Amino acid sequence: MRGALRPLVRAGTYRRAVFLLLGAVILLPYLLLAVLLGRMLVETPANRAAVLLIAVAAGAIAAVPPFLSGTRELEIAAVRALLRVDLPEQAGPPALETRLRAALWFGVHLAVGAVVGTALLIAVPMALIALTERLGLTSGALAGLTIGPLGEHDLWAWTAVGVLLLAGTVYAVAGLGALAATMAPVLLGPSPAERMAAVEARERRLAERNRLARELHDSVGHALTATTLQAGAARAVFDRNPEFVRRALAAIEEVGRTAVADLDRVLGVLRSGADHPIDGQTLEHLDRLIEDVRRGGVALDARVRVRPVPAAVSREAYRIVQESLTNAAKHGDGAAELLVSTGPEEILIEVVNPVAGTPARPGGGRGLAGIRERVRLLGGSVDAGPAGGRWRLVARIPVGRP
Amino acid sequence: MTRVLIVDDDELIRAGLRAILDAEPDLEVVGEAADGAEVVPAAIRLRPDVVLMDVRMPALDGIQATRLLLDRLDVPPRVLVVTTFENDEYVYEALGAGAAGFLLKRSRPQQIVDAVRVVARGDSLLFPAAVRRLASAYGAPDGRLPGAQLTEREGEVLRLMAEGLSNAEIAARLVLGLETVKTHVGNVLAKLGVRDRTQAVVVAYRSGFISP
Repeated sequence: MRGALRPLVRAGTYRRAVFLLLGAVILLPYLLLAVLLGRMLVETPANRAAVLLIAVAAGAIAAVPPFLSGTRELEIAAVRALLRVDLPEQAGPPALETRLRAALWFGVHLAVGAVVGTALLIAVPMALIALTERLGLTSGALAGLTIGPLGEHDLWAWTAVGVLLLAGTVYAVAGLGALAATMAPVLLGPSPAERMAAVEARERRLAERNRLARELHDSVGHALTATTLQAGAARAVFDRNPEFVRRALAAIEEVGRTAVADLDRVLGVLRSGADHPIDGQTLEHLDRLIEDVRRGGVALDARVRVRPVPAAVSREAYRIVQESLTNAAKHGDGAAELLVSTGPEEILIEVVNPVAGTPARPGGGRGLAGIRERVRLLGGSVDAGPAGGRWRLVARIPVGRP
Repeated sequence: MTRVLIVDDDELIRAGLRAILDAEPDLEVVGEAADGAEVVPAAIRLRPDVVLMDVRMPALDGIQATRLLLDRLDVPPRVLVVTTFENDEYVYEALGAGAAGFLLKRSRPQQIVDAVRVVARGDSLLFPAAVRRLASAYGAPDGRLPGAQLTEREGEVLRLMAEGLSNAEIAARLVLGLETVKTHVGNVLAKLGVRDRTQAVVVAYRSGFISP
């Protein structure tokens, strides 16, 4: 008995009702527009063609929101807050399949919202009137009302109907709310591919964190150990061997300085919150990369003028050069030019290579997408495309403060 | 006089350990090596009593160097593993490979000196609590004790060895003569097929004979 009454008294039921009613609220402008157009169709038959045209255009526009990723994000936020379903954060634009599922959810949400809204609009006033009539607060509100065997004077029966209506509505809302909470992960959750991508991203972050921990362990932990031991030894032989003490102090100073620099660098990476893998290669490692590319059979004309830039930017720049040269090797005819120069404001990367056979697609392939993404994150610009029978890529990356 | 060989790839560590040990009248640093690969020839040439052995070294690590040392020399020196980090699986492996004990590089000079002396004497376990922690972290019991069954008394002696008691302390605890305890310890080592009490304790933890 207590279990059966629980949906009536649980706060969750009413929170879920708010969620369902949101659907009705969103549906309202659609409904108004439909009513307006319907009335125009009926009342002014002469303009029927124009009104139909407007209706088609309005329908087309109205069909867009369900597929927008913003709509999906709003639905996810509402589901989290009101249905208390834990959905993962959306990372990047959703895939088509995800959009379709979200649109289906949106549509069902609106439809269910309309049903719940209508039910409440009818049931609540009906029930209240039945109760107030019984209590004598109102009089004659049921006048002329006859449904089946119930006439306007069967006040007890009407009261029972009112109570049943209210309870029934709450049970229906509770059921629909529970159904919504069950279905939300199915329709609003990430697709298997997106879930996999999220897992991979998390693994990359973990791997990066482990790498940093290892680096700290190796550099700073080791340095502290060495300085501690040197200091202990210096104290042990302080009077007998001042020469050792002098050397120990010099060593402690030097090791300490290097360790603090290491710490600064690692903490800098942590603070930058980089969530993509960092393989440690920076522009200073370009020579080796160029060697590798040449050994791979590409006649590479490289002009590299690199000054120190922040490590995070330098790493990304390295990856961009790496991807550009990979593209050049894949799509070119075995020759390429590379220009890398670091100025006070920005890093300029230019890769030019003749295009072998048919020109590549104007938008470029996957590698280029990766480069665009990296440069965009760094606030820079990429210009890539065919130029005079050759493929040319120019990337500019702001250096930021060192 | 205890002769000590220091093996570590970091010159600062070697210099620090040498300064600390050379300041003691009963200890003498007879040589240094920068990698595990140099250990065996150096040990043959210098005949140290104790080798301070770093765990992680570029060419040959401390575990392999310890194995080689115990394998190649007729009267091998006792190996004292020196490590940066206490909770290190390699250290436990080195103890399993036959190292007589381990020492944190961040220890105070006096602790370092004491550790070398304890290992040189070989009559008690160095840092029994730390060995137990390592055993509980890395030594999942793998079954029965190898070799012959220990007598009840020998098992008792092994447990007290794991607690870090010296032979004299075990004798006092069990109300036995020192020579009797030495015989029991010798029997335990022989039955377990190990060369010192540290290894015996590691085997006891590994087999589950003693739970860490």
